[in-house]
Amino acid sequence: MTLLADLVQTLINGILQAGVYAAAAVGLSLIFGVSGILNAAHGELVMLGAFATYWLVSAAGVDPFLTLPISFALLFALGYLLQYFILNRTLGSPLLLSLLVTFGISLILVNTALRLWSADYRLVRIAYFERSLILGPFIIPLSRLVACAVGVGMVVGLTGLLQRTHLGRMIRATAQDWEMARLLGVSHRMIYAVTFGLGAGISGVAGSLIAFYAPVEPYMGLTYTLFAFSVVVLGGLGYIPGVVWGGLALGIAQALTETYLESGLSLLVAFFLLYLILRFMPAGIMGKGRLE
Amino acid sequence: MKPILRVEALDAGYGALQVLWGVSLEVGEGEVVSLIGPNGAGKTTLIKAIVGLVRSRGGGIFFRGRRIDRLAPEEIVRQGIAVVPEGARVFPEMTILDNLRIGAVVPRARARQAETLAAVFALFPRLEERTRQLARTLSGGERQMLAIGRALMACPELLLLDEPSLGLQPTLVKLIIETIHRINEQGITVFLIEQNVHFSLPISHRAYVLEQGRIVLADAGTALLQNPHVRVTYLGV
Repeated sequence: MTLLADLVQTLINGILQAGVYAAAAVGLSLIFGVSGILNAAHGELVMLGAFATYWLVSAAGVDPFLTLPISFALLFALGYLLQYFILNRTLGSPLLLSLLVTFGISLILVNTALRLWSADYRLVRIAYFERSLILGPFIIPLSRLVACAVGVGMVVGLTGLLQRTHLGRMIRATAQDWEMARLLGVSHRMIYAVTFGLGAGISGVAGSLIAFYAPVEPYMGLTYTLFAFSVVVLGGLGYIPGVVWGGLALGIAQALTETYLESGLSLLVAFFLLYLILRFMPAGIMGKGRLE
Repeated sequence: MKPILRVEALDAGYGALQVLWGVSLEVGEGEVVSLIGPNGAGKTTLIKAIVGLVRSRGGGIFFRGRRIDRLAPEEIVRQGIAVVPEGARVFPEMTILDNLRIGAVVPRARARQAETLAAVFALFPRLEERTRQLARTLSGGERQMLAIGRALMACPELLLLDEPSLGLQPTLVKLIIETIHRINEQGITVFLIEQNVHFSLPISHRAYVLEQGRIVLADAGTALLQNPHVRVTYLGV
């Protein structure tokens, strides 16, 4: 019985983690799908969101929930400006150029964070998040439950925005044929900037959610860049709702590894899953990814 | 007649290749004006130059007297020009309804979206039957109808069409041309590239013949249909 309880608790942990992974990855998927940019600075956006929440809570005493929209707005603005003034200059160039430029951006962001905030690990203390739901033998930490729910909510919200709004139609049209979109009066440069802003904003909120339960530090971004790449490929490149499935696969696989093997193997698990999916199901778990 | 579009001594091309040589033409308000010519004459290049996808190297393009050939494509179409490009270029992964709605980007068109949508469905009942279908599942003729509908959603004053009947069977060609005629009767000026001259010239107030990047003939549509050069080259009689 305890064997089964352990397994269920492990699955719960994996699913709770999956929501955050999906949110941390969906921006990468969106930006790649619309602008064809592989953003190597993706995890740094997550890191900045985490620091935004850390400082707002611990220095300014802002309620943690209130830091989420602030984090979104700050990262949206940063993402918009990065795309509009820097990445729009790489349009029409090979993928490698945007990868190099975003790698440069990631170095600048990490080192700025180090200079400003040092390499210390910092924990956000949120009294009402230190409680847990106890359901029989199972423990669900409140901070993780909230993070998972908000994360999945953002993925659903983004999908709805893309499907049902005028802005969403302009983004999808630009993704499919940017030249034709221009001939309808859509400024593709503005759409790319808004798209990067949206992706960055969601990544920032994902970072804020991570700050609810994990330490914040300038180097944390790289891990999330790698996790996000894995999740996007697992879910199917270019298929946005796929990040939920990719997040589930990665979250559960990591939870199983932590319970039954060794807790320091999370990156290895991500790469192993990546290998398996590329080897056997290159269009992602749901088979809806774009094969290129 | 007041010209809505004026192309003046236009030189244009791609890289080292110059395609258009001193092309001048006018489209009057309310007219249907056709452009005919063999493949490679530069017809598509002329439309691309008008909408700003190809830069002019000499001469100028004027819409309602305002110079537009230095503007970005999205700024040009916002003046009141809509285009049905070569090959229709509908958005394949979007539904018919979304393809139409995305046509109404300018605020003026967005305000009248519901009204225009009803008008487009009246013109193409076939589109109304399958609004939720993805555009990639449509036939060639349906794609052209969708592209024309999408262009109309912008509430344009000038509609540019680049071979809307290319690759279609004769009954569909006839339907498309008749629809263009009806669109014009509703007050939209039309500039049309069309190879099926026996269908297109009768509905054209005037037409130009473009050969090797130069305008070689210009006349009323019906008069050109009687022109010996046009009859031999484009009708094969």
